[in-house]
Amino acid sequence: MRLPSADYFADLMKAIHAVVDEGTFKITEEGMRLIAMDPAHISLVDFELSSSAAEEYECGGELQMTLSISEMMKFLKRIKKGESLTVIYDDQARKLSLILVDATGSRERTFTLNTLETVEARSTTPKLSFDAKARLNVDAVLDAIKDSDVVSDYVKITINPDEVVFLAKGELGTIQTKFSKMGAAVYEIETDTEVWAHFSINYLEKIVKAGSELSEEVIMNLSTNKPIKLGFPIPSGKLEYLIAPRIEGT
Amino acid sequence: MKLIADLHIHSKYSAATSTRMDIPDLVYFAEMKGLSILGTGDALHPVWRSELKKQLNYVDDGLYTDGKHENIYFITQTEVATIHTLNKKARRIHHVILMPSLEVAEQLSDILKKYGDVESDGRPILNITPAELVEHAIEVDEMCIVFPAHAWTPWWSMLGAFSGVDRIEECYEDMVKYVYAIETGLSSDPPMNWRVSWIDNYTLLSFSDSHSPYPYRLGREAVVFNLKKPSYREIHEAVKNRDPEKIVMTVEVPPEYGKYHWSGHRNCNFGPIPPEEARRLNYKCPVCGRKLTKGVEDRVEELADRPRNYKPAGSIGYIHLIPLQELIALSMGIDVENESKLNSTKVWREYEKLLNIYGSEFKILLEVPEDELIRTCGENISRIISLMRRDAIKIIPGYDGVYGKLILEEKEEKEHSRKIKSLEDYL
Repeated sequence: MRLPSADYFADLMKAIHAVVDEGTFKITEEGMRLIAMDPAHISLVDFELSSSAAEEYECGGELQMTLSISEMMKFLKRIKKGESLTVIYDDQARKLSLILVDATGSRERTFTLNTLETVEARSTTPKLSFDAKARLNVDAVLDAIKDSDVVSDYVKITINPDEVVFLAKGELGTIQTKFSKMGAAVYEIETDTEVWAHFSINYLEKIVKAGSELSEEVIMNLSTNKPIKLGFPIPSGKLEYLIAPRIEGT
Repeated sequence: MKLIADLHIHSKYSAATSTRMDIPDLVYFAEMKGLSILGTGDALHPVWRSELKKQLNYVDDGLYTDGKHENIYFITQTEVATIHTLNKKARRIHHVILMPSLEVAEQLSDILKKYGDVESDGRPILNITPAELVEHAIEVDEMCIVFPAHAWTPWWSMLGAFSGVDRIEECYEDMVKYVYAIETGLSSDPPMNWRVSWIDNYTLLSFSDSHSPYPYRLGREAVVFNLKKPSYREIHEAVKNRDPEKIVMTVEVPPEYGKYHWSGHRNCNFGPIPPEEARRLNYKCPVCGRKLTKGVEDRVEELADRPRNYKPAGSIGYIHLIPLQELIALSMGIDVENESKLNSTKVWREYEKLLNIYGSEFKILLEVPEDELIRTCGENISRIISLMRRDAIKIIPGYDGVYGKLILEEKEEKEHSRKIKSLEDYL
């Protein structure tokens, strides 16, 4: 697989790393996919990159590759601006090669990473239906989450037909951010009811921060006291997350 | 880069230490704990030093590794005891010495052997004043760092109730200008030290003084450095300059956990006695009639010139942590009065299970979010880790050599009740 921007690939892997340290990619002629939950089963990442995202893509058949994303991130940190990337996976030798070529084509660097013993890839995500959907500016959402972090470990997210509200309460005080449907940060709200749930700021922040590197908007799908789905539109692919709620008052 | 260091430990050549205080075991358990830099312990001891020379390779800038684990560094270190007389009273004081190389340790050992036997015990007892000790150390190499060990404990410490002094100048005299730090010891923490204004001029350090390599002892107190690279020179600078950029925080057990926080008499089974009660008793044991072993909190109160909760400007941060094995034992209802219980298979099995997920104890105690812990550690242990992070575990204070005892109270357990859902619940 050859991608014109190595940086873009690094951002995609960072987005997966927001949830898991290692994961199994399913690689087919159509592209690569990874569905993985963190060890605590509180968050899930559903990632897909279609073969059309690549300038060149070849895959002989269906295979699975289990990787330490943390280890690969060490390699990806070495990427220089403007480099292109070719990713080659040798299933027999269980080695993944990352070939980085600079913009002028004068320097080629090959990083080879030993992959892990293959663990069967997860193929399903929880079946959920949502009562509300909101499309917002991702930086505005990240700001609201960071504000909430000042007073609490949890934030209540509410979506109603007129606004999206982030509310955090702690011993220090309360922080609330309201995004009105009419405001510049809200692109769309689809709901005829009010829904809400509480989520861990730690998980939200890691995920939204990673998503913000790849997309200008975040699509939030929510039902009361159910997991939230966060989608970050990316070209020729899918990047979605689920985060389990904290149920109050038990 | 953040590096957690425990720079005051012992080797198997000190009295009352584990036979497993050797390099392979230290490396093995340091990795589990999440420590990056260890003191060698006992570097003045010739036999231990020759073992160190065989087993360690010099890497760079005062640091050694075993050649196999490139992320665990050693710094040449020892503890010595000095005995001298001041104002007609014998003063017995322990000091830690950090040195830039094993060769420096060898030279210093050669000089100090005329003051005492450096061969029989890893922590030699020297008939020398603390000032002379500092003088000899910096004469051999000005990069040596000497500081008072566990400064407040009643026995063998600079400010100790029995054989210490009231001010650092009385201890190090004209050589005080070469002393940059004070080790707080297990029974005191930075807020207690902040009550004594002259201590503001010294870097507060916390190390384990460990006699065994197990992770419930090694690294139980430590310093989190933020260095450009692992380097003795940078550590020297950070300690000398009290640099809050380079010393991120100290890791402290809650002071009540320490063995001398309050007063009492272990042999009379009398204690722990809170300061006001101990004062009322005039520090006399009602069982045997002899002097009580005065607690560190009492001693701080005697020297304090500031109220409780005073925080000096520019002070370096700290965090209270309790070793994970203690927390696991507490969650299982195991009474750890006997240390072997902490080393039991049951506790180790749970400890290793968590380490397999997260890699190191410090990561679990410092970084992993609470809701994730519930899933991976189970309700019991995660609840206790969370209580510890909020300083909400009640501790019956230690006294006269008895460790503080952790207890769970019903109130705290209720306070923590909450329910985190798992995505598995929706599959």
